[in-house]
Amino acid sequence: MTLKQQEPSEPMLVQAAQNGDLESFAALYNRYHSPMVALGFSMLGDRDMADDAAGEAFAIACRDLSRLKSEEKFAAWLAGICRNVARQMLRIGKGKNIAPTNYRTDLSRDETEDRRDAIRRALAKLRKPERELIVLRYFDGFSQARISEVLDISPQAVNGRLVRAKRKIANHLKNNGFAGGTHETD
Amino acid sequence: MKRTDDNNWLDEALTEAIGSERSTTDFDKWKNEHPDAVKMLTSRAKGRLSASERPPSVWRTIMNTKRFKLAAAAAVVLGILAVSYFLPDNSLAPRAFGDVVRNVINAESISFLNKQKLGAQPVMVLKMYIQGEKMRGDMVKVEGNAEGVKKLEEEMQKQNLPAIMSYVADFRLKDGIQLDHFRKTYKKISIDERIVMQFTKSNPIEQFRGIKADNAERIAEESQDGRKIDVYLIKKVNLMGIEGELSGREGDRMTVCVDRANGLPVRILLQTSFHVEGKSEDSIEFCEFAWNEPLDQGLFDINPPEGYTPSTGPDFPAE
Repeated sequence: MTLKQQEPSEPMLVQAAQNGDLESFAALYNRYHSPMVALGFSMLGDRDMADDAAGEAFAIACRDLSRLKSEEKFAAWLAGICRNVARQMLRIGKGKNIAPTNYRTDLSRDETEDRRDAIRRALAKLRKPERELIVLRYFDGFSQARISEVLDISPQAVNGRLVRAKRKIANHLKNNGFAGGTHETD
Repeated sequence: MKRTDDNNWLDEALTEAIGSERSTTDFDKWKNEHPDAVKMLTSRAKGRLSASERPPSVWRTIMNTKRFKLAAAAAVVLGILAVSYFLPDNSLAPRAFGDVVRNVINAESISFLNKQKLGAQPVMVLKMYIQGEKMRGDMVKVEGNAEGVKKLEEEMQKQNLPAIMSYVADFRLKDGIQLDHFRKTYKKISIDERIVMQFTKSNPIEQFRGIKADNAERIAEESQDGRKIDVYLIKKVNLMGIEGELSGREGDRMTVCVDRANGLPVRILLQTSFHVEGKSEDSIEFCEFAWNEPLDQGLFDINPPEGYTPSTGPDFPAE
């Protein structure tokens, strides 16, 4: 038995949700909750705050879904809402810099923690679109196709930007003494 | 240029630093935390019509998705093309299939029923009419045990409706109309060839011309109402998102029944049993064919019927 069937298409889910089908909205929620948390995290630097931002973004989407004209653009539309919510949260003082405030190298910390801090510092130095991309990629292992949907850019662009952003992170790590991060090209 | 082999190291480090922030997805929790938003969304299904006008939910669900429209277009494609499977195949039953294909292509008009059962959803029954480049699909019935289906049936009887909704298209004029018989509304539509292409991905006739001779096998001879019927088994399908090789066993096969007297299909049945997330049993059936019978030209009228008003809301699928 090798038959396969396509899952309900996203436009169909969006349309059904626009007409009040909560089950379809739940399917969209399940599909995009994690990417939205990732997106929120890339801006707010805090998982709980990112969770809140994602939850609020879905609430706004739920209320305003009928305004969405192009069902194919649901993910990008939702991402836009999530960014706005995160921005508002930042404006009122919620959230924090994704990077640790002080670069600590005390002996009580193991190398993993130091490296984590270094990576977060590197993330903080990235341009916002690059940071979004990196966080989406590594937050939950989203595929380039999925990232492409959420950020509304081509998979090729996702790939190119990922390579460039990773190069910047690798160089930052190298400059801070993490040899494994050496990643020079060109 | 220098490039270390540490890309994996970087991937692991990034996953460790960022992936540790993953959160769980719990829709029920979110739903409980945002009751107002949920209420607003679900109220859309209820708020458009007064209680007496409101159609049952099954109907509403069907009406409000593209599925009916696409199914109608697909039915046209499939009705003709299912038999086109045999186009290149003249080794197993050369004369019969050659006749079938020629007769189908040369048919001046066709009408048939298309029954679609997908998973646990109710069975949708479409009555299709095709003449030249004109097509009409009437959703005449929804079958199932759900409460909504019963209500729908009662409502149709009460209003004496011949169909739930209709879709009329003129592919030459690239014009068409959707009719909502419950609400007495219509929506003009531009026929987009992509509607058909969505199902076929490419020119379907050309696609099916490539079917190898061993894809069809005559497996039985039956007698129906005194007519001799040849039953052919199809081994591979690529229709409506269903793609793959069929085992040929009951529930996992495609058969075409051909009337030996006129060399035309009387029934086409595709049964599948496959997994998406859990098992579902699905079938697409074409039956009650009427070939070359005069069709009322009023069926293909793409103007709104008297008394129907334009649909203004987003209830119809956006074009």
